[in-house]
Amino acid sequence: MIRQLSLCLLAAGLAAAAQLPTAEAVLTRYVEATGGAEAYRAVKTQSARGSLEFKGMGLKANIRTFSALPNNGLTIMELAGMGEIRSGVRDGLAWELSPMQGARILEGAEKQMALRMTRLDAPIRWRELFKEVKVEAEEEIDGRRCYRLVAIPAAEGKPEISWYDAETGLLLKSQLTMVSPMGEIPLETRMDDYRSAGPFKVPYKITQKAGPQQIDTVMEEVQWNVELPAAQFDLPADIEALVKKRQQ
Amino acid sequence: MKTILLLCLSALAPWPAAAQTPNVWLASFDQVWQTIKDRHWDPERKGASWDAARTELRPRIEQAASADEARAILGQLLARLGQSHFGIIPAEAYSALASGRDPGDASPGFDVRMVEGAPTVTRVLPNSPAARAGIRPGWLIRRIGSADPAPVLERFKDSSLLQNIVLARRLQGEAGDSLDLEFETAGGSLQSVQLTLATPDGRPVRFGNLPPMRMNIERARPHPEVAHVRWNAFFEPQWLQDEFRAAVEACAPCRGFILDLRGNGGGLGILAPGVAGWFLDKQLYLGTMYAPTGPLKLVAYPRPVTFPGKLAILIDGLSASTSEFLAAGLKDLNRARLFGETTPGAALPSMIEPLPSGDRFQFAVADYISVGGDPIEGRGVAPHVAVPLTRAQLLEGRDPVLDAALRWILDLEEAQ
Repeated sequence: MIRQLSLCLLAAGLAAAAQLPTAEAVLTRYVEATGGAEAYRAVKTQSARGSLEFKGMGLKANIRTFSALPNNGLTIMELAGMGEIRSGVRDGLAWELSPMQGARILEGAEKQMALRMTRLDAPIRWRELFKEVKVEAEEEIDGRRCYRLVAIPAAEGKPEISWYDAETGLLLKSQLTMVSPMGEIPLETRMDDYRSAGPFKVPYKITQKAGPQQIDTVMEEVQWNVELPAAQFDLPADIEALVKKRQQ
Repeated sequence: MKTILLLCLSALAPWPAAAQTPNVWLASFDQVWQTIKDRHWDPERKGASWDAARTELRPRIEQAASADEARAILGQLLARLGQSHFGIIPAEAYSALASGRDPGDASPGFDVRMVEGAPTVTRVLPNSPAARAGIRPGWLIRRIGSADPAPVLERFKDSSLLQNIVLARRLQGEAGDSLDLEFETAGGSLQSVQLTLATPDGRPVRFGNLPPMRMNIERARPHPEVAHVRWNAFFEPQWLQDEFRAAVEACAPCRGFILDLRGNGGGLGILAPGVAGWFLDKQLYLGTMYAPTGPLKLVAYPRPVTFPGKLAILIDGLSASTSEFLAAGLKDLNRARLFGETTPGAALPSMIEPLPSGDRFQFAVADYISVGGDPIEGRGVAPHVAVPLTRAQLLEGRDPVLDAALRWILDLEEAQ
């Protein structure tokens, strides 16, 4: 009897799994929902600005991001009372510069995550960026039916979980682990208020829970294929100094 | 987004008292119990035994006949945690802490500490109202306004931190306020002084929801081969970074560097490793914070220029929180030698919230273990060289803690 019941449950489970779409189908649908593969292939640069707030602490910041193919990026966060925090990626080097902790060069899983997140064409390059991607379940996020997709990074890094809206194809939520010398910090991100920005649809409201903190970001402007100065991604002097020190 | 901000500051503020009826004590009990259940970082401490404590003690608080009895039961509840920084602060204590006027940030321009059991002027700031009035280090404060401070200080005799906070608050006010003080001078005579409070030097700081405060950083060269940096709070990261860079670059060939944390009550926890980075030649961590969401290490990254020589850190009973992270971490890493007095051991990030009874509930939200493996909370950081302040030395115009650090750096005598 118990064996029969187990077999029935197994069969039911297999049936449910069979109804799930493939990871490729979910990610292809996401690319279509946000602008299409052609648009991703045509993108060369991105520039965005917005504001963010550390909830409960009364701390606000302005944020600007710049990205360019193949894999260059710069984020500037001006935090009231704290100064300017810069982070970037250039020629395979990921770095961070803040008045709190100074200059540092990212290594290991932290570096790989920074490289992955800076890629403008990541949605059509997922096969290169992840060694394993699968849809594990169908779940509800705030009443929306979603597919839960688990991706194992090709380079170092912990599994990343994403929830894609089954109806619209848009990414609604992600969960990943930021690995740094400080330790492992769980990061949960909610994406809302998708709007058209040039050829793409992007979330203008982003809510993140990083460890004990909630950070609310509101985008104000997102532009694509803008002219960026040649020196946009130059390394700051303190990072250059660190690079030279390492080479000695 | 990798910026994790750790606020580690000793702070107290007045709160209005509420009427005390049995219901407010029951509600207070429930708030205290639930806060621990929801926010303590150690699942074992808030597990079955915590549930059992509620079952046992909640009916008793319903029967409590007085506020003292109710507080005693709340004390028993918190004692089950077996940890410091969890306590009920009676509303009456806050009345004693408050001076009855808005504290403001203006001051008479001198530092005061409990020295040999008495409130004593330890430093007079240049160009301040106190300096202009001729007040000298070593004078005892016998009266603030119309009140003798001794009785209220006696109430907090078990906590030098609270005693010093009480004193500081009673001396603060709005710029332009008059403050009558009576001192016992070097010769033992009493001298009355009326001072007009003035806004101290320093930069106004606004950080998030914290009230406005004033931060100052002082750089000095007490000896041609020794740099000395003293600052009163861990905020304004850019300013702090610029000052440290200038101090380290200007004193690259110096024999020693002194970090003066006396009176520094903390601020942003992440700035402890940030400052340590000027004195470390490789990536190290100062300690680990254990929050419910997981452990976080306070990692120090070497700055572009670092100071390789002798490093002394000056500490006292007001060097709290972030100051303790920095002092303990560099001590554990054998990078610095500490001089002065044991710190207060107020190193956990803690919060103080009002209870329906009008009392306040202080509770820690994370544990902190220094890199040497020891907690700081409740124990403090002990100096390598204990230098208790004495009134006689202050009257002579000496700074015995700074003197001891200088002697060690300059190899003038073997530090004890």
